Amino acid sequence: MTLVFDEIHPHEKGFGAFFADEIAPILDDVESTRIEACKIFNQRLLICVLAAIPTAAALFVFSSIFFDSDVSDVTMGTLAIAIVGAVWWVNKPRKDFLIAFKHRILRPVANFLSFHFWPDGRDFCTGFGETGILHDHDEREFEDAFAGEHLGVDLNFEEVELINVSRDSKGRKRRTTVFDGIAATIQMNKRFNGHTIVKEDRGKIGNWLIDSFNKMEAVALEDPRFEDRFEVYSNDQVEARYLLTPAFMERLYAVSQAFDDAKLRACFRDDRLYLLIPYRSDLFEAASLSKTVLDTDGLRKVLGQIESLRGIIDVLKLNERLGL
Amino acid sequence: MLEFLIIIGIIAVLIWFLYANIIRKRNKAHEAFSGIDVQLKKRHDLIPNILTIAKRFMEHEKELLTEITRLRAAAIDTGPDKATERFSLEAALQGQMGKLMVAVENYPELKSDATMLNAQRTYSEVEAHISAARRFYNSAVNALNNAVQIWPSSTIARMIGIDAMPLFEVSETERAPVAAGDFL
Repeated sequence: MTLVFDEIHPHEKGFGAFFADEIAPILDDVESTRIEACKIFNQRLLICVLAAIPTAAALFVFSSIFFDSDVSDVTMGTLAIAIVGAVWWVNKPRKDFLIAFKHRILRPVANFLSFHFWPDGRDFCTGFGETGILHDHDEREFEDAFAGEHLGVDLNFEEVELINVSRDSKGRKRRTTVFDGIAATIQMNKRFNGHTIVKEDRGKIGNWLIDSFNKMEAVALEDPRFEDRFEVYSNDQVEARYLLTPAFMERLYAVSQAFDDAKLRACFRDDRLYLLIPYRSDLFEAASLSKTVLDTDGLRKVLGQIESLRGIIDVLKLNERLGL
Repeated sequence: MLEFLIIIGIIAVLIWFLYANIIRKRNKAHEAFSGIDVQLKKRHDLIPNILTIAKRFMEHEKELLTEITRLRAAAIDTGPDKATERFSLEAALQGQMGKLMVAVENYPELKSDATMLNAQRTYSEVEAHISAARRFYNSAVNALNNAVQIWPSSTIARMIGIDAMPLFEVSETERAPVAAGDFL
């Protein structure tokens, strides 16, 4: 059966031919890899269910009857480590397959769209340090990094998760996600003199508290809908208004709407626009162990997601030299 | 007696906060007004450059170029104490520069000249910054006027002689719809 990619949306134009030449010929092989990985996953799951868990349960019961509570705690700890190890062992074929899929299929797709692609991520957030929009965090996980250009504008983006690590009253480690979404950097066609940031509005009291400790001044803008949603801070009141014209505020609001009404953050600094867009769903996942790769819906979804991010440049008109 | 002193102290602190708030807002409005001046100066510095380039090509626009030169000189000579007159001259200058930019379209050689393109781009940026400076001024004046007009800070404002400031508004001629026939 010859696989065909139907170009349904405007942004998919030309992908059908690329799919036929570069992707379709290797999909059967990738599908075989998926089936094999699925088989191994199921085998390992069965082994764990049939052998490991009842054995561990019996060990627990035995030690709690014949030993005191301290040893029982050790058994509990051993059991926990064993379960974690089992989960990792069972999931390994799935993770290996998904990574292999990204290398074999998503990378060429990204190249077709004039992007370099790194499945393991590139930690673009290191460039966000001085922006003032990065949430406080202790750990950072990242994946699926893209770097390229659209309409002559350089664009980088990747999925990132920012995590706070704390300890509760019993000393147990607790990990809390403070941000999960996309970090994007866009090279602008000019250098900014000041530093302007756009953050989510925290209400009158929240904003007042932030203003009290902020080195930058709040910028009062004219768009009531934008003001309700966002709060702007800058060390240059004129440049902030030069950047955030009424038209640009509308466009930034439209970007927020395109990503499910996201409370995005933005920073204009040096010669770049930095964006943090919270987004709950996992992005750029075109494959699943349980679903055939011969179904092109996954690829279509990823194309749409990349187009949404490239579309930021279109929506914000960052390719035009008028003003910005 | 102690309670009375505490109440007086609290009232005095509140009055001081209101007073300081009004002074801060007035100073911010003055800062914003100066900000417009800074941007207008950039425009003044750019205009001779544009006129020098334009003169080489625009033989039939001598009247327009002369008027721009006159308005620029008049705007520079008008002191900051005559703000209304100054802004009126700046508005007229902006109008004439707009006509010049449109007239450039009739001279293909000038339109494609690299230095003119660069000058137009820079002028466009300067105008965008002037617009931003005016928006900052209006925002600062709005905050001051709210403090001056809303009780209880209005009482403090009256006592120290601080009045509302005018917002920057476009003139009636600028509000009028553009007649395309004037340019074609």
